Amino acid sequence: MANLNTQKPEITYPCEWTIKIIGSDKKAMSDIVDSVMKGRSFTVSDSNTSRTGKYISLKIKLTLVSAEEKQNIYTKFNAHKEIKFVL
Amino acid sequence: MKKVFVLFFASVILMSVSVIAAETPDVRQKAEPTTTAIPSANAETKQVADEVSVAAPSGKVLKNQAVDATAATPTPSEITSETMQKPTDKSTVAAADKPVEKAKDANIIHINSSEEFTKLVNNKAPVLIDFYADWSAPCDMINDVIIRISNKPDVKYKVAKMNIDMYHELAKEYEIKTLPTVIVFQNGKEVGRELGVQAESAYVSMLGTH
Repeated sequence: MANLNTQKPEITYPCEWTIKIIGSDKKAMSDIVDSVMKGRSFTVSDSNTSRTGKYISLKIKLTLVSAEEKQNIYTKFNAHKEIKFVL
Repeated sequence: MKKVFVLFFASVILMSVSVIAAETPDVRQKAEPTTTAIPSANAETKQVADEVSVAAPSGKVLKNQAVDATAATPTPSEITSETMQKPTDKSTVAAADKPVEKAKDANIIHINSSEEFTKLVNNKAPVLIDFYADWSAPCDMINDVIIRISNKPDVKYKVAKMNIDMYHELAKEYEIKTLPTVIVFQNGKEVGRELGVQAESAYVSMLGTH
């Protein structure tokens, strides 16, 4: 469980985690989510849309088993030019 | 004879009327100055009141020199300015007595130019840089962690923060797509990178291993 408010914040794995990806092409983003999350249990849902409607975000909920797995997922999302930001 | 009598009587009447007509303007001339004297007195009062208003904007002074009640009454803005002066003086004294508190993030370098960024990257001792954006909630989550790391005693590293929205080119050059991204640089090289929210120990270990 993630607890960042204590004096020595720690993240204990496995834990529930939410990753948000931001981009402009929803179809391409959905395909990338399926590709990166292949073999994992996760849920994906629509999140915010920018004021002009140019950018959308998708929220991915999953269970992480380690910090390495988290880094690996972030790195894979970063590699796609259709993904503008990963939060 | 009868005609002569009628003419005489008519001339007497005309003379009487002319005498009465000649006396009437005198009465009017005396009355007229009285009626014009009142407006001139009002104008004089107004002029004094105007002069007092200009010379003494403060209601306090006007009470002693009150010529006209309207002019002596201070306006709301005058009351406000007068009542606000005393507390301001007291608060100034109180602020001078209070010791200055050091900001929590006083040990964090907030990067203000690309030159400053380059200088930090080339630093001999490790430099931890937190790449963040104001609109990113996860960046807020690690803010206290970064402050704690910067405030550890007797450290040889530096801690800095860079707002990626102000330096798009640098963010692109260093492939900052995950927020927050924390990178440790030393002697111009990237020696560690953590993506997303991490525990404090993850950031400290990047600094400790170099």
